[in-house]
Amino acid sequence: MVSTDAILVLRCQEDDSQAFDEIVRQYKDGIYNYILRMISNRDDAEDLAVEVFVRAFAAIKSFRRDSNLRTWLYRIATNLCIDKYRRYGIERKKLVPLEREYGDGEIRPMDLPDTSFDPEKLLGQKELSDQIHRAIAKLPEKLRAPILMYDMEDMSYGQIAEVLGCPIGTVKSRIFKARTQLRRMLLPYVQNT
Amino acid sequence: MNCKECYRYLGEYVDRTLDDCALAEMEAHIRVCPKCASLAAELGGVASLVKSLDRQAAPSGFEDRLNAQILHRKEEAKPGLLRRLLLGVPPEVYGYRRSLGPALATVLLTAAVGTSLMFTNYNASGDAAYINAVQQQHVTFASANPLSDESALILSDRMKELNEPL
Repeated sequence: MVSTDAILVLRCQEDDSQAFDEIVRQYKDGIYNYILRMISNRDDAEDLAVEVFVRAFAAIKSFRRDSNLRTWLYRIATNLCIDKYRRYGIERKKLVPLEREYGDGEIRPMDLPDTSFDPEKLLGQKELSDQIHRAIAKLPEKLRAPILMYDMEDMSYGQIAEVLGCPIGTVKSRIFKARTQLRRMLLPYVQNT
Repeated sequence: MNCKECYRYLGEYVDRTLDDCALAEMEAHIRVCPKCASLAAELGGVASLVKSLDRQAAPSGFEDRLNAQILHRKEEAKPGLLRRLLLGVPPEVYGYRRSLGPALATVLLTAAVGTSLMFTNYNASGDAAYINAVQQQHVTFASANPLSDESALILSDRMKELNEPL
């Protein structure tokens, strides 16, 4: 059975511009969210997400029909994120510009996790998700990419392996390592979930 | 199953991707090992926290920015005249390679044929007329100016000698 993605790709290769619009509509949110979680900067995330689709548009004629459109787009996105790190020499620690508004009305970078917080009260609140985001941003990129794809983008081990170009065993191992590191960073919240 | 083996399969246990047999062994171990049970629960908690993050939608106007960027890239990718003539237009501009090679060949061929025809006409009529005109000029010049003709000079000297008194 031919997948919807395969049909869309085929239509793109036959110069149907509406098919590409459909691909963008279908994947733009996932790709943007993935890049945002990878690089933690909204402006750069939007630029890179646009760039993903620009590159996809330029190369879709040569896209092999036996490939998977979704993993192809995520591979472009992952490579762009890695390029961004390498080109600008961005350190992971600098990639955590999450901010919050304090009582005095000033917006400043968030403080480190305050373990006196009551996790139950925080659950579902923006602050908790910021803490999780900060913890993910501190992971090495080779651990961050697979855990984001697995837990946020609902991709399978096999799809992630295809995106990253590594064996499935490596993907499982990286996800496990990522969770182990996150567990240490988010222990107060994890113990109460 | 011991703790070491349990640790090896913990990731898949949390992700619920173990086969039934391995899952049963894991659950049996976790029931009797509080340390592994605690670790499994915490790793499961981490997975839940990450999954609970809100999905950020692409900003409004994303498609407009994308379309503008694609148009911009198309303009940038359009090659100069010389490159278009020599290499053709890259496929990313029109979606396929559009070469101007045949047009260039036609222009060159037309120019070559035209030039050769021009020279053919010149040799047939123009060149002959030119030679005639030059010859005519030479004859006229020679007859009008005896000094320009060596034989006339010799004749003139001879006549002078004959006319001189003895």
